[in-house]
Amino acid sequence: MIKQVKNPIVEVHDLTVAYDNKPVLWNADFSIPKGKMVGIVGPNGAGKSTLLKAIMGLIPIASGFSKILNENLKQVRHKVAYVPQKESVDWDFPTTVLDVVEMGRYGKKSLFKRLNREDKQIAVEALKKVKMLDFADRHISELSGGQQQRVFIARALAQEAEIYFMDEPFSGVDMASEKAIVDILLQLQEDGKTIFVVHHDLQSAMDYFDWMIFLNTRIVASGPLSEVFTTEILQNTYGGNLSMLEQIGQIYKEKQFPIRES
Amino acid sequence: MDFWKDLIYFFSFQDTNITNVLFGTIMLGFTCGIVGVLVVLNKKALIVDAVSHSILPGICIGFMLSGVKSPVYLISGGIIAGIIAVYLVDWISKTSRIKKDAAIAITLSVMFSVGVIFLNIIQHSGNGNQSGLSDFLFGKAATIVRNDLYVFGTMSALVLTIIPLFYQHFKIALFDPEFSKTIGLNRQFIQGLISGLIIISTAIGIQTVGIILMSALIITPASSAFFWTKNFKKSILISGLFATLSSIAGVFISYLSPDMPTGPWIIVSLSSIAIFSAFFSPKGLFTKHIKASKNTKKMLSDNVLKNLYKIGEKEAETTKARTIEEILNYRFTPLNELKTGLRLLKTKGLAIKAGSLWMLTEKGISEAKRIIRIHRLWELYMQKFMQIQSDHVHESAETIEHIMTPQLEAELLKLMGKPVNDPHQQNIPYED
Repeated sequence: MIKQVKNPIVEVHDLTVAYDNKPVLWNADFSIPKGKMVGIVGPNGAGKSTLLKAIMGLIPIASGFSKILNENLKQVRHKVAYVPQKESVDWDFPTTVLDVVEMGRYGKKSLFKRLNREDKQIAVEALKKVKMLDFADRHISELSGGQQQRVFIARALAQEAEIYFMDEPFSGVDMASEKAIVDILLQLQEDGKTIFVVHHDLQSAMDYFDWMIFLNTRIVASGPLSEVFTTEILQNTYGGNLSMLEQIGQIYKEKQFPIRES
Repeated sequence: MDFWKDLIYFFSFQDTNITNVLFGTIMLGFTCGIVGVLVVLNKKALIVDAVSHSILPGICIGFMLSGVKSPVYLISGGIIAGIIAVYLVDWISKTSRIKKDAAIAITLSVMFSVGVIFLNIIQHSGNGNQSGLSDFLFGKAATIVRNDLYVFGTMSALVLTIIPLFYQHFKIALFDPEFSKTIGLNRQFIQGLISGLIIISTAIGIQTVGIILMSALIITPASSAFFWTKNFKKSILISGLFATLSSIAGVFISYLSPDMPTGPWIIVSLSSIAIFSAFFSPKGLFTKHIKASKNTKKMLSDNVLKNLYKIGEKEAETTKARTIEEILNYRFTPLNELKTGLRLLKTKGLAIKAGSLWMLTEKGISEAKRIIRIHRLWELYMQKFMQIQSDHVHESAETIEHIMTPQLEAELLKLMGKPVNDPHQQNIPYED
């Protein structure tokens, strides 16, 4: 069941992504209305992070496209904030917590400019929101996993975006951090922002999200929580892979055959 | 004193040769030092080796074309060869199954062997200008002349313009490549810029330190700088400073005894700084050791203080003077440790010695009360909040009592009220 909406804030059209010519995400096609808290769930290797990265232009797309606010990503970059998995960076990098959050301000600003007082104020406010202001001058290596995640979220807040894409913000996170993050997400939603969250835990997914995308190398379902959280959809998502897709993908890879004819 | 005379002469800049060599090396050192921070944080330090080895054929071709050892020709040749090397590494690792480190090794050895062949051809060509070309292998700072300085200066100025100009680009792209891409930063451009900086600094560097030691001049100062700071800008400056100081040291040493080669001494100085940093910086091994010994001392003196107080607590006479035997009788402590502990208490003004007797000062009593109070409060806390049996709480409290801060103590008191007894029905001492 894929519920398409009118005037979507994010529209993904027939998106196929391949690694080494093997499709890992097949024909993803869905649309999301403004102001939703969207959970992206599915088993390991389902292509959840891949979907996010493809929308954010971080990996090449084999076919299809995605539109944000009915525009290409390039035109609306400053309205989009992306929170990568915290494992994707080296936390020994010589920089402080506040420094990292201030990086978020460069989403709207030329990298050749210096941050002004307002920028710094916004960064401080963002740190306050994630309850990490006391850590502002700490080196980032001194943080726990949950605190690192909160710093990343503060950086996204400092971007003052319309749409937030977060890759596993709850993984390896302590209870206090999880609570702090959920509160922030709710606040963002209240302010009319749209949030996409790659998530692992089905149990809490029911509490956190009001729109769900079920994914297993293809979109199994996309729609309001109440409509898609069904036994059938869960079984389709988690009940084994489609072996046909797996086999055909393998052939694509072996033959290095083009994913699309043109 | 000859040494002081030499030192004064060295820094008086009377000798043009020395001045040329010194300024050339300083420019070079500082440039390589600051570029090194970007290289190390980019996690592709090996590429420096590939570039430095690949520069040799470029220099040879530069010489063949010009017929003289003009720095402009040689360095231009070197830079072009460096660019080819970087592209080659990229191309091999992208188009084949060969991984990047193997691609670097392949490029390095192919380019270097071509360079050595060229060098041989030149040496047998009968061109008298070629003598000294083989110095590029191990470097020879003494060959730096005025003309070189202009080339070095231009290149250093270029590097010193690029790094501040693209400071934010570098910082964001090196820390979080994915994020940098989502805010519209062109990662390929930044990578190209870093490669360019490596090529420039290597091209001007190998005349002084040689092909083989070149990567040390770029990698070592940055690696040492990270021991001292948690700030990106500061690590760039510190790295530049370390490389500059080492360059001066290297030139000075080879000035003192002309048999000594400059390049290797620069690297030895750099390595000494690296080793020193590894031991004595705030994150260093020796610093850790000092911390550990401070902790041991603190535990020792706290424990003796506690015992001295507790004897008195039993008899309700905390100010009375005690003999060493009395203290030992109360709780056995190895005699030398007890004496060290008492001495520490004396220097802190917590206890005084009168003849062979020891007694607590007022400050000592209050400090002893604080430690015991924390110990007993913590025992209660563990029993109440952590569901730990009262006969299991003592061990943990023994260490907690030494490290609890006043803020945490205040919080603990707020949490517990002001309880009278600990789980073992011992009185919790408060300030009157």
